[in-house]
Amino acid sequence: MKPRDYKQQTGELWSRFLSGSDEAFASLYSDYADLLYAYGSRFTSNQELVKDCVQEIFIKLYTGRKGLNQVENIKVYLMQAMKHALFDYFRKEVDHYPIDSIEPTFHAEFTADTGLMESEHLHAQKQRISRLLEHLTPRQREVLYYRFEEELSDEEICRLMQMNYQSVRNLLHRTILKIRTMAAEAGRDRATDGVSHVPEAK
Amino acid sequence: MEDNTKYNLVDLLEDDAFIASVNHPDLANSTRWKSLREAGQVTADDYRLASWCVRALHSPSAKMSGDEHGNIWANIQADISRRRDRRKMRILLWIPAAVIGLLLSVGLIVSLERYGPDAGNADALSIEDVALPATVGDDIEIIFSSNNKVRLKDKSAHIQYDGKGVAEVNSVQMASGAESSLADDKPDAFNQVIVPKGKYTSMVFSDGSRLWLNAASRVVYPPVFGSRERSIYLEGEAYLEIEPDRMRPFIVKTKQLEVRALGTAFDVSAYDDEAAQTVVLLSGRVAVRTKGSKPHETELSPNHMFSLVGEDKGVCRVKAEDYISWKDGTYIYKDEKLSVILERLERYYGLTICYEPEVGAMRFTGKLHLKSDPLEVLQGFSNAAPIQCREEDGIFSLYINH
Repeated sequence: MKPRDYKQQTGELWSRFLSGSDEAFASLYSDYADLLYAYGSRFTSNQELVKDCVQEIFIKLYTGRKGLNQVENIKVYLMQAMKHALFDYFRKEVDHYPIDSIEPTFHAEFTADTGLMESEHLHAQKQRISRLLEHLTPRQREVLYYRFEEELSDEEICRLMQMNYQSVRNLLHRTILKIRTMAAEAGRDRATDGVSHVPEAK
Repeated sequence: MEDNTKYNLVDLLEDDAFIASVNHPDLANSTRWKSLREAGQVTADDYRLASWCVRALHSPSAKMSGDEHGNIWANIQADISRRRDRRKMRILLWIPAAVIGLLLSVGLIVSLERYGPDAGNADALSIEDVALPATVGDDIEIIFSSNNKVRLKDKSAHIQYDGKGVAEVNSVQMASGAESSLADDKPDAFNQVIVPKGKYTSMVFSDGSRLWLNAASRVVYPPVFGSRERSIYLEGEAYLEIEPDRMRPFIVKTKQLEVRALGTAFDVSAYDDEAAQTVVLLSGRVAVRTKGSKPHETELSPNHMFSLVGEDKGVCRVKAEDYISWKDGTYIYKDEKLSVILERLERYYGLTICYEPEVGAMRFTGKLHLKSDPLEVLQGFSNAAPIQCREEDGIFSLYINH
């Protein structure tokens, strides 16, 4: 589905929900509950907490729907709600720990699995990068997740990371430069392997 | 359209269209990138490495099971409908409080007898092993420690702990375990409440969770819960409303079951003399674990009942209110055998009821108001079925009206 159609359709769903449709509310849950759970799980390994937050978000959505406005992107709106709910919990309930040590950070494990046949040197290069990617900071991982996996716009990332536009641009650009440096390093290693031709993958 | 832009690795990774083409490849976008490669605007290496980066950063996402997905939805529905009925619920919750208010003036009999040599030795004692006192009388009995027991002649009692584990019984403050003067009295002993047939007790634990203890039941608990969990041990039936605390699950242990809850309301029925042990969930979420050689865990959604009969486990949909109505003075039955109903009434009123097998096999549906006069309740049956009820020397009998 093209992004535009998708946005239009979700906009409709949200309008129906706002006008009081319980069926639209049920659709919201079935469309977004898993996504919210997956997203929340990137900040904590406490599954019960994430499930409680999913529950809380939908209850608040339902009980507060009279005060809600049209939203641009339901997914981003709900992801924001999840991040708030989690951070709220960590701030409130764990007040006897210093906040820095307990604040949830973004986790993502990078998989070197591409599922494609590939040349030996490319494979070795990817393995090296994949090891290097583990050195990304949580914020760098978070921004890449929004960009590569959720395909969010810079503006949407600003909202989720509570950063201004320029900071998000800088963070993203620096992260990608870091990846290039890693790739270059891995490439230098490759040059010494003496392989020059890469057969074209399909 | 002519486009001569050259893309290197960084350009690719910053390009929305490129990321979209990796994540959702289709004919249009793969043709476009293929022609860019052929025109030399993108090197094959950069293209492949960039595609790999986008894909490699797709880390595996956590997934909920279908049950978890369904349970959360059920909880949301329950919560929403509970909010709708909130006014009604508040009134219901205040009924027991009003009853307790009437009993405030009743006196207490504090006895100082000991009941067992190692009753105070809680260090080595697990909660399930706390012994029943050697003699169980007709009074509600609250055992704070081996040296501090309270007996109440009343029909019902209300026990309330504050956060420090200091108890009030019918609004009269008790000495806490720590303040007990006798040297051999360990302050961290478990407390217990024993309710005989025909009586009833409500209580508030140190964490604010509430418990309604039905007739012929016993509960063992620490005056103050530990930092990692809140465990109590139950024989008989109790309805609980748990104060939410994500850090400390509330665990109700019975002989055969373990029910784990976060913040929820549920009923546990575990009478030794009843075939079925049941857990009914009103709201929230609980996990029920069977004990024994083959432990088994079940997660329960609101308005579902878990039952254990011998080794047989089952979950079915019920109207949870029907199972907790006893705390407000009614029993609600749906196509239930009269023998089961009468057994519960015997326990509730603390009396003996005789009946013929044909009477016991009759089935009833409806609501029983547990009035103060049991004869009045039993006569209710004769309005619904050809049954006669008689009382002679405190023994009630039901027989078919020929």
